[in-house]
Amino acid sequence: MTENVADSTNIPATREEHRQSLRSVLRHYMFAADHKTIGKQYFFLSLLAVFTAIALSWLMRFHLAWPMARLPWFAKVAPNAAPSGIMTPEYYLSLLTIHGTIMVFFVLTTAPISGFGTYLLPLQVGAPEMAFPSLTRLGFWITCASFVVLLSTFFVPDGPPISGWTAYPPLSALGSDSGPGEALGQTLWIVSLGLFCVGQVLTAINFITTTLDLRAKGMTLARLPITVWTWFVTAVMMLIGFPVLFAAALMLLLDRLGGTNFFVPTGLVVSDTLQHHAGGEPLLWQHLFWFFGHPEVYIAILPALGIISLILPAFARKPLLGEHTMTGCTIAIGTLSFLVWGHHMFVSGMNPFSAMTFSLPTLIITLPSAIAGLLLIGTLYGAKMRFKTAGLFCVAFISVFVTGGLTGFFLAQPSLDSYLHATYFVVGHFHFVMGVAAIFGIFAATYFWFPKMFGRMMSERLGQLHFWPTFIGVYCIFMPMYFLGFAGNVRRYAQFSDDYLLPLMPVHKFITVAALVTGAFQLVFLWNLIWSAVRGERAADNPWGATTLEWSTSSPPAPGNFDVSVVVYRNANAYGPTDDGRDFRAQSEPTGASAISARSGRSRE
Amino acid sequence: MGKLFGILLTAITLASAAIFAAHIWWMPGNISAQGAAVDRLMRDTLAGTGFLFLVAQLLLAVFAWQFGEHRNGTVSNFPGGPRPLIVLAVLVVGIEIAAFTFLGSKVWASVYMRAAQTGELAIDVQAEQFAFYFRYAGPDGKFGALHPDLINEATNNFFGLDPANDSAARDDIVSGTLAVPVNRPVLLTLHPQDVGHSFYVPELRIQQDFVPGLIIPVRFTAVRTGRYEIVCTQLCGLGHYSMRAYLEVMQPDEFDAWLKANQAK
Amino acid sequence: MNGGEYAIGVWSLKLDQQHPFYLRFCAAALFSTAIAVLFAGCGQQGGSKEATVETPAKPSGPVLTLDPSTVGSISGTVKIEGNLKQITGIISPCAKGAAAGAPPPPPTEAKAEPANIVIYLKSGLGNYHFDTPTNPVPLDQKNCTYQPHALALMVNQPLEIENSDPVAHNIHVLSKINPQWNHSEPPGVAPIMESFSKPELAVHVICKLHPGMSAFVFVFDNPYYAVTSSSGTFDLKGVPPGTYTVEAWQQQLGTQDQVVTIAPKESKTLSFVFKSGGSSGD
Repeated sequence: MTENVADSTNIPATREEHRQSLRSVLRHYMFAADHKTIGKQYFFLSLLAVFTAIALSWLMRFHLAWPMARLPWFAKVAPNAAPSGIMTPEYYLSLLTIHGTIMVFFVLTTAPISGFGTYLLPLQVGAPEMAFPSLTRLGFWITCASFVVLLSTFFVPDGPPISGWTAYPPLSALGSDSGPGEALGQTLWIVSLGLFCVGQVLTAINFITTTLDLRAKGMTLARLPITVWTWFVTAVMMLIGFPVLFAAALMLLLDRLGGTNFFVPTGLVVSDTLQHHAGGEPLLWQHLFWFFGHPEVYIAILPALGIISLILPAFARKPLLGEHTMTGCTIAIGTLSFLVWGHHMFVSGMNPFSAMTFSLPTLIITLPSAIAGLLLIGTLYGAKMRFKTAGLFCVAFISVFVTGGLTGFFLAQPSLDSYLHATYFVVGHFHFVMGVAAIFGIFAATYFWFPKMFGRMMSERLGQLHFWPTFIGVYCIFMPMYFLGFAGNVRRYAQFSDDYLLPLMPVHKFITVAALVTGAFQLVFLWNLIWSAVRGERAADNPWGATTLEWSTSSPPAPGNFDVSVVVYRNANAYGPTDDGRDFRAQSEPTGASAISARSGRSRE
Repeated sequence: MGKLFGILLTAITLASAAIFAAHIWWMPGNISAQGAAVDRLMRDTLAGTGFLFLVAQLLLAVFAWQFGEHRNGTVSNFPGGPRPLIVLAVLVVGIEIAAFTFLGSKVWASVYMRAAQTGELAIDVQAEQFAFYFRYAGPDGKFGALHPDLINEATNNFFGLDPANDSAARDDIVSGTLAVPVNRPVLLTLHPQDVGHSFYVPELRIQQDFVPGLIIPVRFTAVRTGRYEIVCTQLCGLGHYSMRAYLEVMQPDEFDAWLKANQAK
Repeated sequence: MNGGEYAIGVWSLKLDQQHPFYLRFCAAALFSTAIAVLFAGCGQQGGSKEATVETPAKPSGPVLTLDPSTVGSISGTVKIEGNLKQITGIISPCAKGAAAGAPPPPPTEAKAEPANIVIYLKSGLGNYHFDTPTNPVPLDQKNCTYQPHALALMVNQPLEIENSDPVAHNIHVLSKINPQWNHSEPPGVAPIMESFSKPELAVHVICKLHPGMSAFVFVFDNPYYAVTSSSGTFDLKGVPPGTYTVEAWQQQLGTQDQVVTIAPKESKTLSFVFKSGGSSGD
């Protein structure tokens, strides 16, 4: 079986051909799968990852609320982690580390861009396939390998690392002297990260090339859907950021195993042992990591912003307000995100003057973010909004994006950050923008594109049952974290034993209960996915009446995506009453048939 | 559904804003001479962002209520298109950016870029897994040199002093409590023994990481007596959560008595 | 890009079709590098560990048999002159009123009791074989202190570590010869059983969660050791005849040696005096 995926004649066109033999099926999924299959594979990987990470967070939150409670089943599953069912402090830190790593990398970097982007980018630009199908496959399997290596840290003798997803040296550089999990666990974590970086760079190359080179006839850059723009900007950010993380990870690995001294200075005494390292600089890691790390969080949110900006108009039945401005905002955010990394390091010991030079661009970046939020709110004005589940997640996104984004004003100012740094205020802030807003983007994308991907509609009733408790629940979980932050509650604590933290325990218990309940309702989403994939109502080509190119082909699209070469006549924003009584015009619909009515305002073609 | 969303969002917004405004969970009382400026800035930022929070969320709630599928009328665009919103954002957010930058940098400099003060009390602070130790220079006013290879927890030689050969080290006072006299400028020199740690006293509004290989100065003047907690905020290992010490701000005569009681013979 | 935009795109697809080998090779190279790094990761670098107290060398020569009819004993007392200073100001969550934020106790001169001094044979013992006792030696964590503060046991004898406090502790064994280990022990769980496979003196055991909470463990390959109580007396019974260097170890004041010769069935008395020069090492 050859790898000629671009030439569609070799793709098994019928189910019978698929079932020929298990070996040929495996070979297909490993070596010959097209971008749509790989997009779905990424989606399922993210699904597995997010439920794993949610389970870890349940354990964490339960321990924080009831640190001395015994969980007998836990003792059986992980006797080292929880002797007699009570979690040890180092295991809490291990859970924290793996939870963060999984969520940032395998959920928020994988689902919105590698998952939905791989599936939709060729469709939305009108191409039959990605530019480099082998890179798509390679990227996916490397990401899978990275995930497996990460999970393997749970099975090594000393357990997973305890240094957080940020892995600051010397804690992460000195091996078992600095703590449990810092031996093989930390090494495997670094290897996992290195693999992930490679996978993402390959994905980025693929995305950029596809967007620039494989656009269909008539698809000018100005007519690209907003999602394609955000994936493009994100891919450029990935191309610049991930190699820096790779370099930093390699340097850390060499410090641990190769006798180098990038990050470890002279004269450290750890566990009564004088360390041999000399001449390194811990702040170097922080600069390298956050130079990647800050763009990374925008890599997590920008695709979601693009997705919401695409889906909201489809349910509002009117164009996105200021589409080109929105594109400009994403480019501005992407560019500025490389200038602000030092705001994670205000109190890190770097020159205090640098704090001021990082604070200004951090404050400035709130401007395009604010404009983006206002454009979304303004899109809702004058709409006839269908509040289906995907639409509800769109408006909920706006709300949580505002809540999370506004608290950035506090953290962007060094003099306030000196109080709020490393408190639950930061935890609330990044969970709102990443753990809620970006996830809502993924939810909206799932409810919206599930019919296209699986050929069936998701249950609207289960969707509503998922949405409402989730929306209330996330506010119950993360808004109190701001209160805790103002009270000075430090983060990454396995337990709250300080005098001033004891009165805050009721807040923590409230958060824990909210987290357990909200997490449980995500099972409704999972059930909806499973049930709908098997029993859902069959989907038409364009059940939502949306304009982008994927809706002008079948659900799911055939191999090669489009029956004939598609031609594009307008941008993706053509919502509004038409002269012939419809309320939208697809991108591929020829002009002249019926113009968008002048009353609906601007929808420049 | 839109109406339900509007109601829910309004309830959440008003409840959250009320809790913030009422300071139900809030910063503990300030004890630092520079802290009042930080508190003012915090209050102003809360007011500014709180205003934006209320406006944005309530506007969203109203629009969700108002512009549902089954309302009368046809689809209409935002009056003026995106331009009024952009102008509004640039003006409002721009003013906030300018204000916070100029005001904020003054406050930051007043805490973290302070010059040496006359009569300041120098205290050497060492953080390690998982304790803080504080060293006073003793009657000779000089700190002994530190030798990492001499560190010996068994004999309480946490700093690695060499009193046998180093006369300046002989009278150094080591304590697990940071005692300072009230209203006197203090200079802390932070250095860690092993990995990264951080020094945080919420009441002082000061947080500063310990960076291995660096000696980092922190200056403050405590203006209220009392006992306050110093906690570690930089993940340093399994004991991170239990790593703490007390800051005891005392009257000058009490402080002198404390020093004497802790002094090596 | 409207007219011939497929040109480069088709070129990239063609590259993919014609040269799949390169991509597979790169993939294989990447994976093998990753695996190589993985296996390399199994070897870890650490710092240097030097034992602070020299461990008695293992006696060489043929294994001797102990004759119970010829054994004698070494007994005596240990005194400390002067005071021992403690580091003060450390917060202990077990202290009375700790939950209410009570302050640490004020600095006091610790009474220089001659307790927790370990007496043992530094050298001179022949190559006798001794059975490993099976009874576990208890180490309890109570009131955020280790009790006893110093203990001695034999190679491979079980050490039973219990947590009788309402807070979690973390036992960190800073051995230099035996492998270091670290266990967290939440309150009220089953005791942790550990043992040491090699003789080692003055193994510092600390609770990482509670500074100032420490103990010392001595591991011997013979049963001739004692840990003093506050009375300061010791009695090493059943010592075979020979010339021995007897060492006494005190945590802050170091070690003192005395040489003694025991004839068959003889009992000798020794007296150790540690002088404290005030605070040491502060």
